[in-house]
Order: sequence, then structure tokens, then C-alpha cells
Amino acid sequence: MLIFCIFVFYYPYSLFMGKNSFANKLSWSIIGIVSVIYLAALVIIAVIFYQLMTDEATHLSQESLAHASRMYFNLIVVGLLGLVVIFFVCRHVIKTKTRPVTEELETTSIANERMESELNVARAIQMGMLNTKFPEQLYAMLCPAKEVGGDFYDFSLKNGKLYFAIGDVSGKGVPASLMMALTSVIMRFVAGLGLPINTMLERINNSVSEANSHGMFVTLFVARLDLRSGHLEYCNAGHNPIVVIPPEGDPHFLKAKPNIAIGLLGDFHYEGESLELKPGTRLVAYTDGVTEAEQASLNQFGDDRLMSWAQAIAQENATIHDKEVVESLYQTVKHFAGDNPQNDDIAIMSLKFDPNNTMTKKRFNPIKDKSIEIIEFLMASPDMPADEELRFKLRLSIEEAVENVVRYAYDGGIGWLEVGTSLDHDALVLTVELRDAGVPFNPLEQPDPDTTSSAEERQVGGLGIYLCKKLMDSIDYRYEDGNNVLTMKKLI
Amino acid sequence: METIINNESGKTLVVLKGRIDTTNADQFQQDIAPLMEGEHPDIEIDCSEMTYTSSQGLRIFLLLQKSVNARGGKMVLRKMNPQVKEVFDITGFSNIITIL
Repeated sequence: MLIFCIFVFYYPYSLFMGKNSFANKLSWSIIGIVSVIYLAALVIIAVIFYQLMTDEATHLSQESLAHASRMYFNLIVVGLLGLVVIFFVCRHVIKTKTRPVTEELETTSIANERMESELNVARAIQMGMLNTKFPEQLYAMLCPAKEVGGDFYDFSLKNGKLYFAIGDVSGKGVPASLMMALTSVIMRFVAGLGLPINTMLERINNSVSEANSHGMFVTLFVARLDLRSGHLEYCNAGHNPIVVIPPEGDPHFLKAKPNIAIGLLGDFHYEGESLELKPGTRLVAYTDGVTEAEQASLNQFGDDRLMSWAQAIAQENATIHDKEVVESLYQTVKHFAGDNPQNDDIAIMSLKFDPNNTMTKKRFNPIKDKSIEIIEFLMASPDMPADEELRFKLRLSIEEAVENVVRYAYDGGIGWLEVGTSLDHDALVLTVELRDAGVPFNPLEQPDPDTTSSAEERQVGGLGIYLCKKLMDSIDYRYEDGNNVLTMKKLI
Repeated sequence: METIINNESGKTLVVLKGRIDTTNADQFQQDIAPLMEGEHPDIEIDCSEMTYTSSQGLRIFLLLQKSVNARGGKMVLRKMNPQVKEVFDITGFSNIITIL
């Protein structure tokens, strides 16, 4: 009886407590109260019946007594069955009455869970859209205030020119992130067209304005930096001014003509401008999540703190890397805001004009048995074309020229070879340069092999430099500062 | 670089695979040493899988051709890829080596 009672009570208990909702707790309480009242009534009836039976026992015959015991047993069985029936009836009634509430609660929580997981996927997709293959000259980061956001950056390096952009969509969260995706896709497409910067912004503006049904807008800074000359073309469409940290002198904001933000007015005429950067100049681009970062007291980070930070960076501008610059600004802003949660998306980008970093150049010392390493280094240069046929010719010429130095320059002794590649301004001509300090030797003065003679007459040597002459478009030799300098050019 | 040499009823069939450059030219020269022996050689070289040769490789082809001529034999290079063929053309090797 005790075990049965425990089962009867524990079963619904476990059934309901598994789901820890208020509605389930309520139904458990109701069933509990009804069952307790019923059990109490049953016990009272049983006690009264038992007392009547024992009082009468002396007067009853043996048969009547046995009959009464059976009745008593039946009463207990029927009573317990009644308890089970009460449990199921109560449960059914409660379920029907509370269904809408429970289901509504469950539906909301499922919807919340789904939304959360979808936002996480959206965040991964948004982050995946960002370019993170940073070249040596640039680093950037994005930190949305919510799962997804409207800040973005982009960059690409092509033909010795670094194109870069940073932008901020009005608002935040999902709407801003959709607009960000639209803008960055259009921007990436337009950037590949090689247009002047202001024309580029006009194209982006026209496309975004057409697709902009909710009157959102995008502030955008776009620029193109020639990594050899330092010539910077840029256009600012309503974005925060870029911080310039020159190699000497004070950091300042980059002056830019005012242009309206993207998406507001189709066919707007954007004005671009240009500037010659001095070697060692650093640019730091950011979104208003930096300057408008707030403390609990509603104090904002602001332009002055940004400039103080830039002053500090200027002290170590020559040695610090772009990644450290970006992280330093982010940490400074975070430290300023303290416990106050980030209220807007933050994007930061840092890049430095360093022409010495631009020519792919390396000195190998000593060069014995290094031929393949030197050839592979040159072939891996970003200046190299992708075309297989061109690469074949370049590789063969490079191998012959490198071998020429490795074998002959130092008469078998120890020495170095400095090699490098570069592209001309229009990225049409590739130059490969080899410099060594070996015995002065002009390989171009060697007579060309006679390509018409018979096998018997042909000499086995002299083919290497001849191949270079034939496969490259030009090849020059000069003796300069005690070095042999061989320069080969190829139209690519 | 891989060199496979087979003799078939008096004819020597050679298959060259990969690149011949400064790193493996010496090995290539050793690999083809058997072709430098015997009277009236008849050599056919399949170059379809030879992807590159520097002047080091050309030098060995020239030595081989000279040796074959001196022994009164013949040698043909077959199925050479166009880029490698261009190197043989530029250097005039196509005039002294039979390339089919």
C-alpha cells in the first residue's frame, strides 16, 4: 500500500517536475491537494468501518466476519483505484485549461532559441565576409556591439596599390548588418574596376541608394595608396576623419572635403582628393563606436582622447606594428568605458606607408646550395604574374641568372646575393634584380652560342645567359658600388 | 625528376617525368648513363611528362645527342610540351635533336 502510494505520487511528480514551468508546478499542487483530501476521506471511512466491525465482531458468526474482511479489502482497492482515476481526471482538466499558456510559453522559448542560433550563424557569416588576409602594411578589426552590426572595413592589394575602406551603417543590429552586407558587396565589386576614387563612391552611392527602401545611410571612407610613391587618393562620404600619424610632427586629422553619406541621394557628385604621404606615415581609420564610447557617467571618449592616444603612438610609430596599434586603440577605448557595456559597433584599421617594405627583396648569405631557395623566394613574390606561360619563362630566366652568380661570382668561395622584384607604376613591367659583391663580371659580354651549328660543333656552355636574353624583354648589367647588378625586365 | 628506361627488341624506350633543373641535373646525367653505351643505339624518349628544363638539362641532351651521333645511332624526342619545346627552339637545339 505504501509503495503503491509512493508510486502514485512520485509518477506525476517526476512527470511534471521534469519540465520546470510554473503551469506544471500548479497542476502538481492541485492534484496533490485533491489526492490528500480523497485519501483522508478514505482513511476516515476505513477507520469508522473497522470500529463498527470490531464492535459487532463478538455478535457475528465466523462467515459474516470473513465476508466483512473481504468487503474491507475491496473498499481499499476501490479507494486506491479512485485515487488513480482522480489523478488522471485532474491532469486532463488542468492540461485542457492551461494549454494555451503553456504552449505560448514553450513557443516563445523555442522561437527565442532559434533566433539566438540564427543570430550566431549571421554573426559568423558577417565575420566571414570580412577580409582577414592582411598584407604586411595593414591591420584591421571589427567588434559589433550586438551579435551582428553595421560597421565594416575592406582592403585589397593589387599592382602595388593598396585600396582600403572603412564604413558605418546608421543604426545597429540586424537591419544595419543587412545594409552592411549590401554595401560591402557593391564596394568590393566597384573597387575591382580601377576607377578614380570619387567615381567609385558615386557608383557605390547610386547602387546603394537604389536598393535603400528604409532611408538608412552609410558613412564611408575609401582610399587608394600607391605603395611605392606614397600617393594617396581618398574620398570621405560623411565618415569620421582619419588620424594621420606622420614620422615627424604632431598627429592630426586628415583634411577631407565634405561629401554626404552613401545611400541618401542618388547621382550625388562626390569629390575626391589626394595627398603625398611621407615614408613612415601611418593612417588610423575608425568608426564612431570609438569616439562615442561612453562611461557610465555618459562621458564620451571623444576626439581629444583619440588625439592623446595618437600622440602616445607617435612616440613609437617607427617600430610598432599595425596590429599593435589597432589593439592599443581598442584597449584604450575599452579601458575608458570601464564596466559600461559597448553601445555601438567598433571598427579600427591601421596602415603604414613604408616604401622600403614594398620591394620584395632579400639577401642570401652565404649562397652555396641556396639556388632553389633563392628561386622560390623570387617566384613567390606578389609582383609575379599568375599566368603559367609567363611564370615558366620567368622561372627559367631567374634560375639561369641565379646559377650564374652562385657558380661563378665568388670563384667557389663564400659570398652573398641580394635579389628583389618590383613592378612599374602601371604594373605592366616586372623587374627582377640580382646584386652580388663577387668578382666584376658582365655576363652579357659573353658571345652568344651559335644556334645554327651542328651537334658536333656546339659547345656545351653559354646557354644560361642566352636563355635569359631571349626569354626576358630586356637585361642590363652594371657595376655599382663594388657590386655586380643584373636587371631583367619582362612585360607582364 | 624520374627517368624510366626500357629495352624492347633493340630499341631503347625512355620516359622522362618532372623537371630538370639545377638541383637534379647531375642525377639526370647519371640516370641516362646507360644510354651512352653500345653501338648503333636507337633511342626514343617520351617527353610528355617533362615539365621544365634549364640549360643544365639542355647540356645533357646535347652530350647525349653527340654520343648517339658518334656511335652511328639515332634518337628522337616525342610529345614534348610546347613550353619546353620553345626552350629547345630558342637555343637551336631543335635543329640538332629530332623532336617529333
